[in-house]
Amino acid sequence: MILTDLQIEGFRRFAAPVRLDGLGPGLNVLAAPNEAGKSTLLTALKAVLMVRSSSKAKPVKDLQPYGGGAPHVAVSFSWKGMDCHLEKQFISKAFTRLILGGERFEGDQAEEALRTLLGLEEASKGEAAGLWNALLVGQGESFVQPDLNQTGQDSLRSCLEHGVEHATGGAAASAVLSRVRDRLYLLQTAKSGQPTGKYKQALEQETQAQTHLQDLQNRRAALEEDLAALDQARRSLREQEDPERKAQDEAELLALRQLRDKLRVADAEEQAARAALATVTHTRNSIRDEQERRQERLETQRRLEREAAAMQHDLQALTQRTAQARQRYEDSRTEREQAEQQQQAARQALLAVSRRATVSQQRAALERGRQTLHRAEAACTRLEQARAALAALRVDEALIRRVRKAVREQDAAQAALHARATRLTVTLLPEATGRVLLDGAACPQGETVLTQAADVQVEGIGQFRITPAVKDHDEALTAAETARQQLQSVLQSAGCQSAEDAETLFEERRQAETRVAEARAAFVASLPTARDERDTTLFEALATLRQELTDQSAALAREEEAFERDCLPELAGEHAVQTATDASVQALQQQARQEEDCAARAADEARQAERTAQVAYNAAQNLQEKAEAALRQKQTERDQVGRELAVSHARESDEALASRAAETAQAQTQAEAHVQALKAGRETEQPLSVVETRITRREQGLENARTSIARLREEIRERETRVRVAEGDGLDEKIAEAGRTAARLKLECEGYERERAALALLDQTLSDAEKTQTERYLAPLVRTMQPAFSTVFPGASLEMDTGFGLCGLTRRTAEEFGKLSDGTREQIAVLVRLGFAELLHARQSPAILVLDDALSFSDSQRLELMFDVLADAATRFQILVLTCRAEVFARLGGRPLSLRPIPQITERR
Amino acid sequence: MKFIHTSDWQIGRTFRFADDDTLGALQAERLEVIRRLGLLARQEGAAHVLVAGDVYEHETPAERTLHQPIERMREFTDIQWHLIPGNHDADLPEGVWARLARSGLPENVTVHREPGPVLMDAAHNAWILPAVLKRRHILTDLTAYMDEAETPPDALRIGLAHGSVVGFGGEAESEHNPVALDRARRAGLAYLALGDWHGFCQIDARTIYSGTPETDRFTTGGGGGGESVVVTLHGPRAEPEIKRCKTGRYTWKKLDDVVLTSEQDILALDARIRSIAPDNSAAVLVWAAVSGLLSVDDMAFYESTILKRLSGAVACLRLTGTPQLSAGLDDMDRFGSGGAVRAAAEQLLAQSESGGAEGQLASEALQRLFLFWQEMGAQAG
Repeated sequence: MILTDLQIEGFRRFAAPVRLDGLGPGLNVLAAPNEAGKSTLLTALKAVLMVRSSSKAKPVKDLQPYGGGAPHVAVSFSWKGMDCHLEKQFISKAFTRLILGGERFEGDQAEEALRTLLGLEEASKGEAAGLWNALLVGQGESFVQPDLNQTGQDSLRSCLEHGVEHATGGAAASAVLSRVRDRLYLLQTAKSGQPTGKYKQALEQETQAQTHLQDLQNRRAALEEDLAALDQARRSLREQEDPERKAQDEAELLALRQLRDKLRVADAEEQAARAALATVTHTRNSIRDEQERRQERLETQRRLEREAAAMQHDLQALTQRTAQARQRYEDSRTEREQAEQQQQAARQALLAVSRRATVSQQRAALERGRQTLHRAEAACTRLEQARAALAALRVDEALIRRVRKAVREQDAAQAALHARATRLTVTLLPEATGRVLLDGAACPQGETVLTQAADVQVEGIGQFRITPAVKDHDEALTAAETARQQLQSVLQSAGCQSAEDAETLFEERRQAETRVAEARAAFVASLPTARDERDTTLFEALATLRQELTDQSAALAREEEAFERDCLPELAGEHAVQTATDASVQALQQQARQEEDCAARAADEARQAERTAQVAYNAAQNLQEKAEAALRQKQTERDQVGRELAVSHARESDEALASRAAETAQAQTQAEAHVQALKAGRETEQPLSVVETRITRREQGLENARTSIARLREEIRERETRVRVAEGDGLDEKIAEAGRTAARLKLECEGYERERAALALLDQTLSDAEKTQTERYLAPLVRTMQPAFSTVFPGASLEMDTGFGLCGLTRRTAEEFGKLSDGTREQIAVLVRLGFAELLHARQSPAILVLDDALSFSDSQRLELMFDVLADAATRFQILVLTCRAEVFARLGGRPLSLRPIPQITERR
Repeated sequence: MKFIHTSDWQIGRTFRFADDDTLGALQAERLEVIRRLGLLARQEGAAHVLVAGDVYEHETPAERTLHQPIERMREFTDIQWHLIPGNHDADLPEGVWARLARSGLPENVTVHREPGPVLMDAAHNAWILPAVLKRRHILTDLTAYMDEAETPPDALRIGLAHGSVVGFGGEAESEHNPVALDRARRAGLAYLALGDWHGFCQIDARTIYSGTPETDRFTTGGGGGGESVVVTLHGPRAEPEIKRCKTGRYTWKKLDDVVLTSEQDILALDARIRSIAPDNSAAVLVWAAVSGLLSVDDMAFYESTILKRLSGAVACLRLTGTPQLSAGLDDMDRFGSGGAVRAAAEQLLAQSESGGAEGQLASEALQRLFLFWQEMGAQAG
């Protein structure tokens, strides 16, 4: 199928008629900017091929231009060498016209013929969306895979089945499967396979029915329990209300009460006898107790007396020991006092010796001070002498500088004179010596400087006069003379004969300065305190030193005087101050210290002994005091017991007590006998407590019967009410009905489940079979598409699902379509469409491929490959490429198309 | 002296196998039969109807159920209805009879709640001797007292009891509520009207089970139920005259071991069921135990003939079991020589031949596939 002409009018942006110029076999490229109407062109092509002109659906209305009007499209194409023309107008004055070679169709006939030609089938509202949807690829559709509807799939299948032996019924399988699923999804959900619809309802109802049945059975059980309990309660009530039984009970109770009264009288008698016996027994016991108490006190009194005597004896011994301890304590105190006095004396002696050592040290210090002063004074004298010597030397630094300057000036003047002088060089033969004279004297060998006219006399020859031709000769001579006089004056002022003398004197002065400095340093060193080297400070320090020495001397004198007054009497003999040397003083000090230590130790020991004695004395004293206190306590106790005994005796004598004891013993015997007699009389009687318990029990029984009757009546009323309510409900009937419902629902559920399971199995089996079969069909499609794929994705293999969608691409590893990049997905989607077109072409069905702004995500390299593939495919069927990227798609080649306004659509009639 | 003997009305009975409509109809008919009994009595000139126990199905019926039969009887003021408790509605302290006694009974209805002779018809000197069940099951013979029960001389002694005649059924049931085989002779009864058996059963000339007036089960035994007995007593010692009258509307039929292997079998089954009540199939209840092996076509025929058409014809078609699908490779050709559907069918056939639950499931799936295929073919054709 090759489009040869396309004209449109009143179509969206094209209100006026336009024509797509340049259409022909192979690759056709319309490169136009955005908004030029490329997509409208595609829409028009889709509409004319796939939408019934009579359609009033919204998509058709959307075809109208903005100002309104009737969309009108005319397309010419050749098919199997036959010229064909298709023209449609939509919405207003709608018509369809189809010319196939010599045949001409109008209206519905034309639509049917077109559908048959293109293999379209009725889809929703007039639009026949078959495989053609996949071949006319709009903007933005190119990177999603074609979503084929059933017709599209069937078209492909019919193409594919052609090449597959024994493979028929794919469509039939789909149809059966769709029926199976329709039925299955009435019972279970498509996604999760959970029961739904009537099945779910039945399951829920069954659960409800079971619950209801259980509830009813529980109520039935409760009713039965009520009935049983009611029966029991009624029987109990009849028994309880039996009048004979009641009368008998009351008679028994009366008899028991009479018996109880009788028993109570007997009981009282016995109790009285027992009370009398108890009284007598008590009296007797108290007499016996009194007798025992008296005996006990007597014995206590005796024991206490014995103990007091023993303690008196012990106390005497203790008193004696205390006196001895006291004596020892006093002795030790005396000893301690003596030791302390000795220690005091030793300390005094030590102090005196120490003081003398101090005096002696002070004296030595004074002597050292005097020596220091003496040395300082000597240094001071030497300094003054050095200073006097320095003052006598007048050639100082300034003067010597002036001398030196005058010498230099004189030397300079002489040198200037010399420089201007005439040089006479004489070389004489050895035999000529003495024969040549210069200015009268023997002429020196070598060079001679002549500042003035000179006469040379050669023996035997004559005289030569040499007059130097010196410029400014006289000035130079004058300058030399002035310099000499200057020097002389300076030397005179310095009192020197010559410059050498001046230098000598200056050297002497420098040495004198050094000596002054040395003397001063010695003076400073001799002073113990002065560090500041200012002269005044130094002299002040000297004066201070002198003053201090005087003060120290006076202080020592005072100290010596005081020491002699204080200590001399104590330090008699060999300890005399005058005779004492340092060494002896130290020895004395050592000795005195030892003596003091001995005395201190002796005093400590004496104090320790005193403390020990004191402790012993105190302990003895304590013991004695305790013994005295214990003795007093014993004596008090003994006196107390004695007083108690005396009081007892005064109240009742021992004899009277003994006679009373005998009387009570007899009375007790009699009372015991009486009690025994009473007890023997009652042995056969029932115990009162038993009778009373029995009465209480009977009374309680009667009372219980009364409450029980009331309770039973209440219970019966309650149960009856409940039973009446329950029986009115007809529980048995309801249970039977609920059981029936539950059983029926169970059966129903089982039926649904069987149905569901069978359908699910059928669904599964059919799906599997269809998949297997489709996989077989897919092989040719994959084969068709593989070359193009291999060009764009070298080494890649395809994987297609049964809906003819590409589900994966295997390059090195399997990749899911959805996870590929946009560019790759777009290329694959275009390739898949190309594959469809290839397949249709191979089946000799009409096929063209239109791509609107496709491959916009592709890089240049892939684009080149895609161009190759498209160009190759275009050799087999027509391809229209609509693009806004003119420069990129220029490389694609093909026929350039253009949109040209035309006066009106050329109608074929 | 003429009276109607009936028993085992079982008012309030439910039928598990029945759908709601059928159940309603069956229950309504059990009440309606009371009216027919009344009419029968009038028609026969009988003044009394003796109901030998089990008027009610349940011990505690709902109020409406309780009063429904009573109200039906009330309408026949010229007929005296004599009721006794049965094992289903024993005279318990709070049982149905106590409830009815509390709410009051019509004058023409007598509930016998104590044993002992009661004058039934003074004109004929007829005395009724009821046996009264105070519990559901009793191990003593409640009719024993009849031997000693005194009635005026030459009285017509009519026993009325509910239980099992000892030594007749030989069932475990006979241990409960026993009735001596020769009670009528020993007690000098002119007639012993018994209840408990749901099918008519004559023990001896004077001892008879009337059966239920409206059949209520597929296996009733005896005469099959749906009857009542018109009894005419000509004297205390004369043999009673017995007339069995059909009072039931529904026919219950059980067909055991129906084996289907061909279209003929299916047609035979259809004909057999339709011939039960040729002019009134709507009053027929059938329970058929079906088995067998059917080809794909026969299976479709079975479905259309039995499951669809016959089910609609009868009041209730209860089927247990189902014929199995017998599909072979020949049947596979229906799906063409190749293709996905045939592949799926072959797969299912192989699975079904392996047997077991999975095989059964595969067989059912295959059966459905045939049906779908057939439907599509029908549509396409």
